[in-house]
Amino acid sequence: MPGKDVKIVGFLCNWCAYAGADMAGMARMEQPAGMRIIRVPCSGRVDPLLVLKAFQEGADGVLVSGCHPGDCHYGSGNYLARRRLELLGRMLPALGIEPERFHYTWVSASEGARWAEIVNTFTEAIKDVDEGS
Amino acid sequence: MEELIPIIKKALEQVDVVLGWAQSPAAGVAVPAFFHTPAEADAAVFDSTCAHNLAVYLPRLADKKVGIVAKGCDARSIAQLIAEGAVKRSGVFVIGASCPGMIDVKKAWRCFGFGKQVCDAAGKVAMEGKTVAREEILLWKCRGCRDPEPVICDVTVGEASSEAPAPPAEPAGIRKRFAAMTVAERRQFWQDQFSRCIRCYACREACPLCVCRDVCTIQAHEPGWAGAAVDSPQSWMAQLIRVNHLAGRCTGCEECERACPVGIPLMLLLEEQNDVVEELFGYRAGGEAKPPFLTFDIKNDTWDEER
Amino acid sequence: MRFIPEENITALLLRLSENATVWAPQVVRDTVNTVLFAPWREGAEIETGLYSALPVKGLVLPATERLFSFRYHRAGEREKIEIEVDELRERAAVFAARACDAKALVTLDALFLDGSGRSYNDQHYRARRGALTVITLACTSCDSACFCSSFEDGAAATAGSDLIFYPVSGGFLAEAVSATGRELAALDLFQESNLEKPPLAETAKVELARLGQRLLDKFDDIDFWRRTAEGCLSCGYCSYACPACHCFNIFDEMESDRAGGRYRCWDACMFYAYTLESSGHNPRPEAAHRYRNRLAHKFSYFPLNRGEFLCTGCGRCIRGCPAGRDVRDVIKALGAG
Repeated sequence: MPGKDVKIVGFLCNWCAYAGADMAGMARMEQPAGMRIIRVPCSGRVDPLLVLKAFQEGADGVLVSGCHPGDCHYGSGNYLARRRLELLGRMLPALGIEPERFHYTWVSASEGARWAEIVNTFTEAIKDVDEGS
Repeated sequence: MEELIPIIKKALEQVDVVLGWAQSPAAGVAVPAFFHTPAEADAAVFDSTCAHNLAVYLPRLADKKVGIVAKGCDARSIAQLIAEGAVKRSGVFVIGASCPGMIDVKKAWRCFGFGKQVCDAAGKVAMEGKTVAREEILLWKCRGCRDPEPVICDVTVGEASSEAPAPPAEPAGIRKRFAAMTVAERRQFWQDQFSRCIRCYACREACPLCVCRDVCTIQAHEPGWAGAAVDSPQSWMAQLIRVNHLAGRCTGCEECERACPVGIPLMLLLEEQNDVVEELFGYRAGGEAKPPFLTFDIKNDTWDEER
Repeated sequence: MRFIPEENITALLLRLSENATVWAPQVVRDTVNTVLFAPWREGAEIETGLYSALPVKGLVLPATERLFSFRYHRAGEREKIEIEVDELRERAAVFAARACDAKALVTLDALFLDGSGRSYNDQHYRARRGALTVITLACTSCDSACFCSSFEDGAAATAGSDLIFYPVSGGFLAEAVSATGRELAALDLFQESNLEKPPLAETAKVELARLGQRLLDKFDDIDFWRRTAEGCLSCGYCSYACPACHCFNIFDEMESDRAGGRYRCWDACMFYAYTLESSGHNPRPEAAHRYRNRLAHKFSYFPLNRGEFLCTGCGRCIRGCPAGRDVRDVIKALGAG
């Protein structure tokens, strides 16, 4: 639906991506309005079921963002997340969810501009899928 | 398989109970049976209708020493339970049965009605003079079977089959249709399929690796992963929980799909997940190695970020 | 007796479809042998040979029923709850029900529609039951899981049906049981006939004499029940597939911050959570305890309280059990009457 706000749920690690998003906001970088951010202690907290539940409750897209590999505040949480989320992402086509609707990525606290770019690209990709179907 | 009975009797000298099969006169097929005494063991059978995966009973009998008649695929479930610590290797005595491939008794029941004898005394498929090509009524998992011989066993019974397992079948019926669907069509497909789910949880209870059972999170009101209302979206979520919790653990025994009383093709989900796990982690559940989501070691991580 | 030629069946179903959803047993697409009662549309093939996986009870006691919607709203200083009861607006007709299913509706009626005041009178059940027409197809054949002949009139039971069809050459004899049935049988699609009713199926018989007492005698022998239930996987299929089982649980589900719905959902006594208390104690911790309860309710408590078995011998719990359990084996194991 052209013009419709896409609803995106973002699970953001408290120690990096959440601060990065905050930075993007403070710098007044343009970001889509339909983004709903849920702060989590670590990307390792993001159970793949949280992602599926968000889709089931009507999210158009789900974005998970944590610390870059090697930088996890707790040592290995993002490595655990990576394994689970990669599996989930590959399962999505069989579940009837376009893989473009899900993305996991690494954003540090100082990467406000990178965050804004990721969100905007992700949103555009979802819009493309919505228009295509 | 005559030689099975003395083997079970012998096993009973050292175990409390042996899990096997006995003929059900009502169903006309073999059903799971628990043999406690040598006299009971006289009823033991092993034929092409022994599709049930008896490993499902092992975690419930963890306080007993248990003998179990296991096909190749069942042995993978036992190995998985041992690898995960749900069952002790010393607590099970595995009687490995050489498996000729199991038939889908539902197909026989569709043709002949419930309760007609499916196998003759020699264990061969024989249905009222009508001939059905064996390959046509084999269970899907038996086509292209990768493990006709048990991966773990203490004693074997039956000659290893000289015939190669039936080759993998070309996806037919629902599998073919599903493979050709677009993602959006699949979304609708699952909604249709789960609209008939009644949440009897036979899929969970028949699954040897669904070890939580009584305290399963699907039925928890808090945090309420799946709503109590039995409608398609909630039932779908309930099944996704099960599938997700079987990541890297499912041995592909197909019991959930066999147990489903309303015929939901659950293996489409689990087969896909098993393939992805094998591709990502080079891991196939049912060996000696612990599952990848249980054993991650950051020091030996070989993940390619660019993959 | 009235007779309807086979070629008029479609016309009859179309006539019924004018003001009701017609439910008929059909094989579910792409499944091996799953038969369910599903809305019938012209051209759909009706399966009367195989048994449906679920009985017709879902039409009066659905797996999930939204009892009412609720919404919080502020009235001055106070929070109030506004409730809106969901009304049933659709009529339903079931075609080719089996006598064992129809008969169980009468058992459910006594529980949910009791006019005597002994039990309660449920408005949702009443609405669905009042809007349901039952056309039963009498069984002239059966399979080895059937055991309706153990109970009184067996395959010849007429209770719960509005109209009963008996297969005869070229069509069906139609016996009206209720006023609705008589109205239907008077339609021009039917004609008079002097054909004889066909012989009905004789199904397996189990010894039910003194069964309630035999069960109670064995009640405390937990080892007996452990042996009996040892293959049982403790799933809920037998309860959900039983035409007479009627346990339910009630849930409130929030659908937004301020609004939600109250649901009545099937529950099964084979589930651990069925008797789990909030303290964490569970009086039926093992499958054996639950299995004992399920059978004792069907064959002991219910008959003692209400004078009839909570079982009609439809055999679904035998046909569909993923572990191949057979309730008749337990009845036999309880000893002779």
